[in-house]
Amino acid sequence: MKQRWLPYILVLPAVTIVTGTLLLPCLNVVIMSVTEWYLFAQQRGVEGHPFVGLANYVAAFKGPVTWKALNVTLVFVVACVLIEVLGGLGAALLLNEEFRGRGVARTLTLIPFAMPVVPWALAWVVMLYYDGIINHLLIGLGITKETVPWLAHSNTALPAVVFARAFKLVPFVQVMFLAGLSGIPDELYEAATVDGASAWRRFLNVTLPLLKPVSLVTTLILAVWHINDFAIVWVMTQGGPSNATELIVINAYKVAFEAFRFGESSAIGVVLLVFSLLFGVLYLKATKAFE
Amino acid sequence: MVTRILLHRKAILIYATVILYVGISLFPLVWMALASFSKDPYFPLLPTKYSTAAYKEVLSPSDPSLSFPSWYGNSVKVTVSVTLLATALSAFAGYSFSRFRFYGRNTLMYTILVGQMLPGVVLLLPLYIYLKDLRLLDTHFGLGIVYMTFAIPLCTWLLKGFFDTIPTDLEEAAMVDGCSRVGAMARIVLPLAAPGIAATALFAFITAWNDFMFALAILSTPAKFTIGLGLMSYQEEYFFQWNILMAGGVLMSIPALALYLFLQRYLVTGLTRGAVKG
Repeated sequence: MKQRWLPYILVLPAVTIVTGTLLLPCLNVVIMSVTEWYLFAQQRGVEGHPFVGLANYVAAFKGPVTWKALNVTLVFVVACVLIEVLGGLGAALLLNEEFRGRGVARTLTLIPFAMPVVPWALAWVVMLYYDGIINHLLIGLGITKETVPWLAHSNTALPAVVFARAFKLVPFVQVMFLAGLSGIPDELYEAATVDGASAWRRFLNVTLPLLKPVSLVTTLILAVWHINDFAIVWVMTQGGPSNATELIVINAYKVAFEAFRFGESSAIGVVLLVFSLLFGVLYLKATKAFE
Repeated sequence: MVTRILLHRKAILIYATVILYVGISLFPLVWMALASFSKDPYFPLLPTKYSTAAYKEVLSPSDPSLSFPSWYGNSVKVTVSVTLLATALSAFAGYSFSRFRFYGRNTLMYTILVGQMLPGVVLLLPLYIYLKDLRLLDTHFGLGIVYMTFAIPLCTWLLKGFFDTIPTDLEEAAMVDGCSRVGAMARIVLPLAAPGIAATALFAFITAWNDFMFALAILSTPAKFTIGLGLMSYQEEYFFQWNILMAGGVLMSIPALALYLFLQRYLVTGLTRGAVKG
């Protein structure tokens, strides 16, 4: 009797907290998204939170701001993932070579990933300042002719934020790919060499196919992280200038905590939720194949 | 002879690329450290004179509303409590998921895993309202509850994995010798899983330490700020005092960097289980 209940008793505290802080809020957000929900009483037309159907969704997605935010998010996520996966693959191949000091190099290159986001973002704000070190370096190297106000101009802000973000996550991809590379048996390379395959063919026909599972998992993790990215953009630009870096998450935050329109923000949140769950399910499938 | 020269060339190429790559990776941190020791608050390219004045200002602030030491203390308080509680509760859940096959096990497990992928900003709205109703807005206790949302799934999932690696024979032998289930868990499994438990706790610590968004929404009194939020408010106050800004940044980074050094061995396990966000 006691044995039968033990597993449930052990999971009870964790499951209770997860239910209270994850599942209940999820349910709540869906409900809020179809009701009139303002934070302050003065904003409300009537008492309570009447059902309004899809009005919040219409309100959120009828204006250009949310659409622009979706567009910015798409560019941000795709650009970040591309840079990170390609950069991380290159870095992993490099640090997979045998050389003295490899362990030290592997540790030191992890630093950008290990830094907390807020100081990292602040450092980039200062370095990207028009009189900062990046502009001095770029002019000194002859790459740009004049100073670029990176974060202050709507054309350059998004690329600058993407760069600062992707820089931080290249080491993450590197770690994942190094783990993947260490799982490829040497015999495969030896066999390919015996068959007369060049280094490039070995990379194409041995390395890449065998890295496929790990790259799938990595890409999905990165996509989920970037869809939910908040802190780095908030610290660097707060979504500006003129919404050039306003990700959908930043948009939802502003609608809720600057305009106090919780109902409308919830509608945006539900859309985000659907995407995240979709990626979550894909991730579950991918990790099963991976482990 | 030719191959030797080629090998030699390859080695030089590899070293040159590695040095370049390591240099680029270290650049932001090194720049931060140099800037934090600058004597002048503002400098065009690199600092010209160095001093520890910025650190003195950060650690014993002349403006009491920008109290970096108390932000540090707040962060330590919230983060350590969340870490300890989440690790303890998750150890039970993780053990249960690892050792028992019970009705509803898979549903509960996947709920916890997917819960980890939910966007923070989506949970933020209802959690904010719950805290408001409970009068826990702008309190460390409220923030701690919110941190449990990501700490519990992360820890449970990681710990289940670590428990899975410990063979069940040992516990069974102990139970044959008259040990109870809970006794076997406490005497056999927990000590064997100790490194994994420590790693889990550190991952939870880092995640909470690095949080920014929840603190931004929930805390409003400057004296109660956690360190990330405090640093952000530095930006408004000290935008042209780069040495102070960066001294704060260095002090916030040190614990996270030190912990990663310990955690390197567990990094891949932690990362594939969706653990730490970068």
